[in-house]
Amino acid sequence: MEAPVDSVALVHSLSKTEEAEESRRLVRQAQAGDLKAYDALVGKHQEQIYGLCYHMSSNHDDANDLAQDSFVKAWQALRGFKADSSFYTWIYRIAVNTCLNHLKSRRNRSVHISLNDLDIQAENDPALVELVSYRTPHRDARLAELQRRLNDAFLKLSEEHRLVVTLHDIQGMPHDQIASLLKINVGTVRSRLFYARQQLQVFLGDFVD
Amino acid sequence: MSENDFKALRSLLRMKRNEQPPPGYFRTFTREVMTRVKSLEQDKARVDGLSWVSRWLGASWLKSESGIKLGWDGLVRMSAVTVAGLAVATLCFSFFWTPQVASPMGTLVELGSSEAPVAASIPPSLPRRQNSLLSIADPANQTSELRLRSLDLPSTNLFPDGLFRIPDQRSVRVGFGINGDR
Repeated sequence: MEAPVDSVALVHSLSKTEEAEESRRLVRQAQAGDLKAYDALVGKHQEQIYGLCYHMSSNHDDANDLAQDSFVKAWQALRGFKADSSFYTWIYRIAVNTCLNHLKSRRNRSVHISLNDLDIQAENDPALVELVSYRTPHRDARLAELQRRLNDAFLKLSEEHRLVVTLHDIQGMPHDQIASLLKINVGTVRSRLFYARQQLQVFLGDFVD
Repeated sequence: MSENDFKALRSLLRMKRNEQPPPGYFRTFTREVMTRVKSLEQDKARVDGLSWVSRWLGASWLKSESGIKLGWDGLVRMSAVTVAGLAVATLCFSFFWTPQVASPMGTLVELGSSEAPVAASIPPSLPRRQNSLLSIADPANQTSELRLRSLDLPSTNLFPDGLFRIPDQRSVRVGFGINGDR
């Protein structure tokens, strides 16, 4: 008897294939010098790249510069891009290197975190509401405090550990993809994640116990 | 320790996804990136549009991202082009320029011009000094008997005549004749 076809999975798989094909087509056009195609590629990946840069730097202005630099570098190197990996992985790798180089140069400078970066939507996040509402009636104050503590704790992590936590726990990237992106073993990804979470748990003890 | 042990922490970290840039930020982000990309392309097109010499020169200048740097290679190229440029300029100058001298009347006479010989340019009414350079150059005086004699020109020697003459040294007068006569 023939196995039933999962139509939802099939549609999802087809759309992913179509998306990948569309991405390859845009990359080919951009490699030929088509600026509109590159514009479409930037629009497609800008949020993830900006997010990575923001969580690595904890600063909007730095994240803006780093994300822009990543896309400009990618354009300059686009002709040399071989389709042995996806454009998504390739641009992520450029952004990771750009961020790590920036952080190395900034290591001795003080870091300023903008508390205004917390989006209004965060207040409606059920997990956040649950975490802060039952502890204190001063919800807004606790929200700001949580934001500050979270960013402080995040910046205490080493760049390598911050990177894996950003990619996995914040951006939802699977372990194997992180391993491929950073050119390390999956085991190394897991051990870095474990260590980073342990550190964060210590820094954020009041909120996560 | 499993992933479940970090459940609360992971919930907290997921909330960081809500940290967003100012509203409308991504609308301008793409535009800013593309402005930078277009600017790069224009610079590249400008370099490509230069002549081969400029590109040859520019190759050593524009490699550096941090600005113009003239390395040893660039210096050699610059020197080579400067020498070549000077040679071309000299060639052009010598082609178009003919040496000119001022005539006694103040008019310019081209040297080597067959239409205006030096002697002929002097009006006949002018008195000619005997033994002067002009009288020697006069075709009327160019006979076979013409001998080069000492000229009555003021000496430019600061020392009196004979001061450096070696005793018992005979001076020999050499005569030059036209048509091979002596």
